[in-house]
Amino acid sequence: MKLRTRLALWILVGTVVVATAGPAAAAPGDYPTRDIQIIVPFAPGGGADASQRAFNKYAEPIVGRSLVIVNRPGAGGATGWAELARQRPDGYTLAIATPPFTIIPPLVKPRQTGYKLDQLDTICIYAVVPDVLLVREDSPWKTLKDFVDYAKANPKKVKAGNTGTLGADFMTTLLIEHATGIELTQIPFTGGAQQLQAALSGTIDAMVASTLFSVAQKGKMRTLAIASPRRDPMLPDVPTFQELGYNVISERYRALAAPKGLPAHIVDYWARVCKQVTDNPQFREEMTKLGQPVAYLGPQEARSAVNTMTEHIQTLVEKYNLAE
Amino acid sequence: MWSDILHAVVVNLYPSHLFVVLVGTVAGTIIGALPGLSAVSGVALLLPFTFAMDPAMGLIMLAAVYMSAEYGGSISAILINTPGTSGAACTTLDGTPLTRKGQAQEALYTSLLAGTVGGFFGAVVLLFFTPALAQASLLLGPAEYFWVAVAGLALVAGLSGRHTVKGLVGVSLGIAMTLVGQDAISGDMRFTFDNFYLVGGIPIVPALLGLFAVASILNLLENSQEAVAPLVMRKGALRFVIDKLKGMKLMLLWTSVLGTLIGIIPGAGASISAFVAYGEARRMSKHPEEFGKGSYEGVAAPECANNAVVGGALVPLLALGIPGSGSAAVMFGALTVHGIIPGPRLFTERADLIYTFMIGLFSTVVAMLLFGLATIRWSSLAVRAPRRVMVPGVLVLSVIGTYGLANSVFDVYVLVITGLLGYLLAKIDVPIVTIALGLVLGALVEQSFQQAVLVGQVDKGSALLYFLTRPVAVVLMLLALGILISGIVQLVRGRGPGMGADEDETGAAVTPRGPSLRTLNIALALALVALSAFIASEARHLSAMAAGLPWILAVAFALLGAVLLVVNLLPKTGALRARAFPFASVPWGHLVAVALAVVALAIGTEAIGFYECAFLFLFATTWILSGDVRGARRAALPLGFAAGFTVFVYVMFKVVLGIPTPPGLLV
Repeated sequence: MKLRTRLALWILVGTVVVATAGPAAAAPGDYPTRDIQIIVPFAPGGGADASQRAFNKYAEPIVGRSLVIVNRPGAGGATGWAELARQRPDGYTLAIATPPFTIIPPLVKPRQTGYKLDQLDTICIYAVVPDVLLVREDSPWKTLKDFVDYAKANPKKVKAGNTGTLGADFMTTLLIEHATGIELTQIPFTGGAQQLQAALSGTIDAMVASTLFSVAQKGKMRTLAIASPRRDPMLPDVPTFQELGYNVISERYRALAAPKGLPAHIVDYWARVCKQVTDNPQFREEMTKLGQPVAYLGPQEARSAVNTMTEHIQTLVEKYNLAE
Repeated sequence: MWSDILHAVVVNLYPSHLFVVLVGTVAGTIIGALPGLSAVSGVALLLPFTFAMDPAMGLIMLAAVYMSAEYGGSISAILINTPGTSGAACTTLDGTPLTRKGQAQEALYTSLLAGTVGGFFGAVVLLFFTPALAQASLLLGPAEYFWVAVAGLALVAGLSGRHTVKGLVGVSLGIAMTLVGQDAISGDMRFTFDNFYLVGGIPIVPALLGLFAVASILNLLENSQEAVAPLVMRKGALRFVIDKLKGMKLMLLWTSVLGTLIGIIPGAGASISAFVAYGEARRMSKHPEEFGKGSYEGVAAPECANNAVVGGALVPLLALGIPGSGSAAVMFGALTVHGIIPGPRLFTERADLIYTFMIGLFSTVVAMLLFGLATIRWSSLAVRAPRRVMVPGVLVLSVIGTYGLANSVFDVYVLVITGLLGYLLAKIDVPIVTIALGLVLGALVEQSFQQAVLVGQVDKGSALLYFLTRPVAVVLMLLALGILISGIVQLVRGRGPGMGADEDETGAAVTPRGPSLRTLNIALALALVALSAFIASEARHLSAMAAGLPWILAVAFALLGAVLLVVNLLPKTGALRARAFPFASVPWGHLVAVALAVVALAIGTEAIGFYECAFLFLFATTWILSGDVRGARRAALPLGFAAGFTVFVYVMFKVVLGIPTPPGLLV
């Protein structure tokens, strides 16, 4: 039984070592002292995963520590953010947040969401992906005006696809209905692939998606308008909703987030890292290839952007009575 | 086109390309064989390595992982009744009986060669028919998907054997499990009990692994033999299998076609194709009675189909930019990293890449075949492993494999709970595979129905009209009805007048008093009635769209419970069931100890770390199961195995695959 005693001893020693090695409260200047976990609340291989991996690649040399990706998919990201909210705000567990996906669940299903919005701190935003409205190339609607006119004359007769009721595309479609005064019939699908198949096969007439689809499906799908404040360099011919007189802004952020209460010096640290990474032309090029235009919003701007988005979604939630 | 193909052949013979195919094949076969990690997790794990390669090469490596993982899944399915991937769930049905008869090697060769045929067929289709098939796939809408799913569910009759009522119980339970979570169509939360882990639903792969792997491992405790199964190393096993397969050419062709076509449908994949192929093979077979008892056709059909899926799933990806499966979706991601966004123009603008990749798919089939042939002799030795190390070993692999899927301890709990449930249900003759069928098809059948209703109301003013005015849907509907009717006919013919009886023909020992199968059946019936009441009470709070399927299930459970009650309470039919007690030979001490140890492993993983817990778990369970060992080896054997296996798992998962685990005390 000597072996077992020895084993017990080792476990004891190990516990003490680990317990003392973990920094109780990191003093400014000595962060980070170990590897950092980054929760990606989606499966590997998707858009958010790819952009966070690209970010990490350029951030690691600056940080000097490994940024370990932990994919934690489930419930459209909500499981991963709930996991983040449970962590200590010591800067060693961060996550990619992708508002509006991060914002919607606590607003519409507060009881079944494992976090509240104020439990997450947005550190910075490093990419902004606008939404677009697409129809098939052979559709009779050549412009947004054609589309709106038809839909106005035929309420609920136009079928728009989304990737899940109460999801991000669902909200954007509602926003378009709200701003243009039309009524569509939304047909939900369980993923981008199914939705695109339905669009190409004529099961649905229109869909909201990210700009990546516009670029990939050029020739098969026509982009009627883009929901950002300015035109996109990848789609120079596509007008914005605002140009056409409708106040529809709908973008998806790629942001770094932490559990609430991250010390100010760590927030500043990551803001600097974020700035350096987003200034790197190689990172910008890589992200452009992924269809994720790089932008930098520091802690203040990022927070206010998220707050504005939250208000917009809250308006929709109230108008369409979506909260449980 | 031909010059493109010729060029692609040359490129694929470069040593660098051959090398990545080999790496992908080895990795894919192993990842596929490990319980939990599936084809899609294998592809995702190797994704980062492709960033530094040229796009075609990276894609080919991922395709090699995808292809060989679908075969790898059958290795553990055949040897230890544990489907390594969800596509191999059906393979356990006949693979395990063959292993029990000492024919593990033959079963493995059957899976490998049938998989090669399917993979090759899929690759040919991909090379020559991609544009045409992709165009044809656009004829499909929700109504068509609905009937495909119904046709799949109609296979339940063929999968339940003699236990028809319990087969229906199984499939209903499987479908009921898919209800949990947020309904994508209505947005309603169903059966989540305000627990946010349940919002995403019951994860399918951990549940399948629990139902099959954990349940069958617990069953192994009853086995009084030292090893899992006998293994006869016959000379000429390969020859024997080739001759067998020559006799099923038509069936292999048909299951290849089915696998490829099902692969094209987004959202339907390897597991659905395997079920459909199994059902079809049974229907076509001259010996349908052998199915479930060790039929070579029963192994060949699902394995042929799940490899044919690979080519099929890539058709819409390459031609339309729609990934046909989870693995294809990761490949979509791999292409975007290189600045290539799959879409309709990919074919014309990047013909070089496309053809190199398509030809590369043939290399992956060849590599899978060669690697399989080289290793089957060795992998089949696994069944000779002593029970006392097999039980703890497989359980630890299942736990880490499940955890690695989504870095989630919740998934491990799902594994353990479904495992215990599966063990109990299998004991009272509920065919586990029918639960798997419901679990795999439940969401597709419900969502496509809801979508068809929504679309039908806009297009035709009524959902019924929509279903009846789409020619493809009508054809598929007739097909589904055909499968259902032929299942019922087979049942009636095979069973004769004793309808509804599911007695154990062997009679077993007479136990006039005390608990019996009759008692357990009555308990099951009451549980079903309670479940029905519970589902009905919850369904009242749901929107009309979200409440439809729950109501159907509530009625189904009530009816099934009533039938079971009647059959077991009637003096004549009930007495038959009073003779056997399925738990009579269970070693309760061992069972409870191992079950508790698994629960402790799941809980401890989060509290004190996975590897620490795995070591303690391995030591404890091996110790418990080595009661017959005396002397110094009594302690040395469990300790040595626990240490060695923990190191093996650590190297495999942490070092090679890089799967993070919850931070523990030591690692």
